[in-house]
Amino acid sequence: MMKFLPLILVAIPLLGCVLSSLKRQNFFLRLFDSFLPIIFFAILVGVYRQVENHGAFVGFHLDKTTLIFLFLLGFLWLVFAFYSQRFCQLNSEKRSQELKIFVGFVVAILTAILLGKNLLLIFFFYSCLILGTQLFAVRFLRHTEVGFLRLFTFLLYFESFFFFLALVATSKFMEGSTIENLTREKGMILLFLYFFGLFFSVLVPYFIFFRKPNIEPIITYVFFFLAYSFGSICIFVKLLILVFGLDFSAKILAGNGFTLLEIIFFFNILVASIFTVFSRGIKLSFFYLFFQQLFFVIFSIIFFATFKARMVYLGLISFSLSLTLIFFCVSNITLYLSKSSTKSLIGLFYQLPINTTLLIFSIASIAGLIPTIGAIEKFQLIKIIWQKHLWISASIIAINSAALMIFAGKMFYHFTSRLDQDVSEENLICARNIDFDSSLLLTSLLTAIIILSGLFITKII
Amino acid sequence: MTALSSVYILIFLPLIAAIFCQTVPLKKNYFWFTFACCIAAFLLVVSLYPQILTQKKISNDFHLSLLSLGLEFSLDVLGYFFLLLLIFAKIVVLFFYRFDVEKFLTEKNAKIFYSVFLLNLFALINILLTNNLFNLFVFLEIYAFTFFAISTLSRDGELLKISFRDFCLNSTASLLLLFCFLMVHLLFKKINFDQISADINMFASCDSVISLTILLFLATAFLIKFFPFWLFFAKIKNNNLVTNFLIAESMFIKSSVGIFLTLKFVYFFFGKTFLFTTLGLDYPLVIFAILLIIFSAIGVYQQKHLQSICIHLCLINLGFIFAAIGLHSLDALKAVFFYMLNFNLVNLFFFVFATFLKRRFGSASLIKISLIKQDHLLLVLPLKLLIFLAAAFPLTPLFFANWNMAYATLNPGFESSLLIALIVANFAYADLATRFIDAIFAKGTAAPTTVKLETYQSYLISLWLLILAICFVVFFVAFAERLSTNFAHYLLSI
Repeated sequence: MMKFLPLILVAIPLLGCVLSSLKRQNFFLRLFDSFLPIIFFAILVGVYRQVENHGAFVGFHLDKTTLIFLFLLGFLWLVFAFYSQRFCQLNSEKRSQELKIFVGFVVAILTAILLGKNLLLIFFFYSCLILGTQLFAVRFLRHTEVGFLRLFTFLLYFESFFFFLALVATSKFMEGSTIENLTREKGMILLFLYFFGLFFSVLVPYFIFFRKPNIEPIITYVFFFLAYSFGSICIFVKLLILVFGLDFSAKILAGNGFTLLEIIFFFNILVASIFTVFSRGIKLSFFYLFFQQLFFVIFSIIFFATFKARMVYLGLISFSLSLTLIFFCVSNITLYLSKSSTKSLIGLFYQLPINTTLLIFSIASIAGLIPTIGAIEKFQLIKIIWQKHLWISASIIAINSAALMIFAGKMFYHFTSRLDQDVSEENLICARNIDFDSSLLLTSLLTAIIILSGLFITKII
Repeated sequence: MTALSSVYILIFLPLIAAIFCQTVPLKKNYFWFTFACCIAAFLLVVSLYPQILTQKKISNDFHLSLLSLGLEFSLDVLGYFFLLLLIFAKIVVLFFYRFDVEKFLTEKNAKIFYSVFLLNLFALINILLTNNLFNLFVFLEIYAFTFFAISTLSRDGELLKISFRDFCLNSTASLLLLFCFLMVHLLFKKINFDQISADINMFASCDSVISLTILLFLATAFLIKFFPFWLFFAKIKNNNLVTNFLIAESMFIKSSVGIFLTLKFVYFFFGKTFLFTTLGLDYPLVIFAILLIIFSAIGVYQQKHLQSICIHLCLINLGFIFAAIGLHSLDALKAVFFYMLNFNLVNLFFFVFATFLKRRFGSASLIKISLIKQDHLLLVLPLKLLIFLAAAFPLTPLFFANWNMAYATLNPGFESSLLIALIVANFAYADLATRFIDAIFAKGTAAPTTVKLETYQSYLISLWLLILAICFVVFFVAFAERLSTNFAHYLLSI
């Protein structure tokens, strides 16, 4: 029975997809659907012991690394399932249904990717994910956003070709040999091909040419974070650990390769930071913030892979948790703004105290507020930079933290400023409904607590 | 039944069927008779698979005379693979365009058309089976005549002009071929491919001017005889229903014959040592292929008409096949195998689908795709499968072709320049897949229409036949892989 648990893990989100696609009048079916993420999480807890005692599963690759990703994915699905209850109440049934189907699909595919033992199989599921993402983009988004998303999904297709080339190169270079016997040059070619195969679509800040995207925060979260970034980062970390091995990765990256990547990230983070700080409109600012953080987390993973391998997960966990909390809070705020008669952020703290506090907290967390998990990540980064005198990396961290602090300060200033006129009773009721909604509150607080317990999480890893 | 008798039945079956079709009144059953004959030929080829796998070659050579016609034959791995592919493509084309063609036929004409079609099949099979230069010339002529005869049924002035130009080019090419064959016969006293390929220094040892003249004549003849794409480019949007049939025949079947003969002449006539070591033709061939791929990829990107896109996809495929011939390594030749599968299954699938669009909505424009989604599921499903095929999704024939090609190009040296072509081609595939998804899921304003499945029976059967063939490749990839390895090893063993 234990052998089939990984298969069941893939089947659960797919079952979620099927249940979401049914028109569910039946109360028990709806309840069952809501409990699927909990079952998923419970199985992961059960599997944990098995992995501890017996190592990897036959037919799947389920070791500690995969389990960390799966726990993270399970947690994200769980909080999303709770959070989306509210989203479903406020949106049309069809739209909510489609969103839930897509999330179920993404979780299933990501589980398959994470469990995949064979690189070709991982590539197959990754291609499925790209295709699904595009279908989602075309069906779910407004026409004005399609221009940007069309380019993005096209780049996703295109980047998968580099992934394909990386697979061919791996097969070719490792014919009758092991990865340890590869020369540094060949290893570098492979690593860069994988890198471009997974992150080509975000390596150039082409998003700055699209000044119109007004994408809903929850869609940005599902589309860009869950379906793209999370999957790509997990595959990349898995490759670094399982295919290359952390020692060999460090050997490959040290030197010119790392400097080249440093320069690429410096440029990207600088541009994204400028756009985050200076853009107007809450949706657009957080859209740019997402990209800025994505660049940073990729940089952080590569940095740790080069200098302190066992910390390689830290960036991903910090990024996932903080981004989740940020986008849930922003989603609540935009929901309130769309429902109320006021369309300004000024004085919002007095109407949505919980949401605005959590938002500022999560931004401060990724900037490095002590004792969050973001602070531990930044501390480790700065420690290594100090020891190794890596000045480009130091500038990257400085720019990232400064931009986040300015952005958080700007938000804080807007939220705590007083409005000239009084808020109507109707708006206050609406704000209270959103801010004190049990599912939203529970989700957000749970995420915030986990971010706060950074030290504890680091110890487990 | 022995393998030899099976091959003889395969050779003479279409010829006897053509005579039967011409002489016996079958009323309205000419189509079914022809179709049954094609199926029987296909099954005969399939039944030869174990022998081909073990013996690599089934041949019968009496050393009779210059012209032995079908009495002498040689069926090797190369010919076998092309026989399978081309007879299958013939069946699909015949079935799909049946109603389009029959609109132009009276009962008497139908008799003539189907007997000519069977003669065409006879010529095709014999081109693939013959081992003798003069036999090859004769069968190529029969093939050209029958093709021209088929094209006359369109009753369209413009189309007839193009067919006539095609026929004129064919005749010129035939003369060039005849000159070459005569030169070889007079100089070396050899007309059998086995004898020619056994003497690897034949061309290298003779006067270089003569060798180069033969090479130049043959290259020109093949180009104008088998790949006259430019002739049909202008007429691809023609609404005459026979046009599509003719383009399908010309673009998929005739071109495949051209590829087969190119491979045969490279490996069994000139030999790779003469072409690639003595003359160093691998570099120009690869450069030509890269240019062709880039040009076609830009074409795919620019076109909005599905049939034009299909032509450009075919050109990309052809480019890769030429490049693989230039690389002449094991992986490159395995790539040729999969590119041929893609050429004759996936690209034909595209073309058939485009013709369906044209028939249903009067145009094969990409915009029309969104209208189809309101149709029956069986009609819509192939459309969704096209996305996977266009995007070179893992496990599709194009994926395996690209895999082997990338494998062959990942070497330090001039081969690696083909990576540029691979990237550009995949850029075009990615764009096409994106456009397909956009077109399918675009929010259409047209009112839902109902369609009777019976009306599109031939479309459905042809498309699902192609899908089954593609699925066969996907699910029995080990089988395809083994055949491709045999194919490549066989060519390299010469």
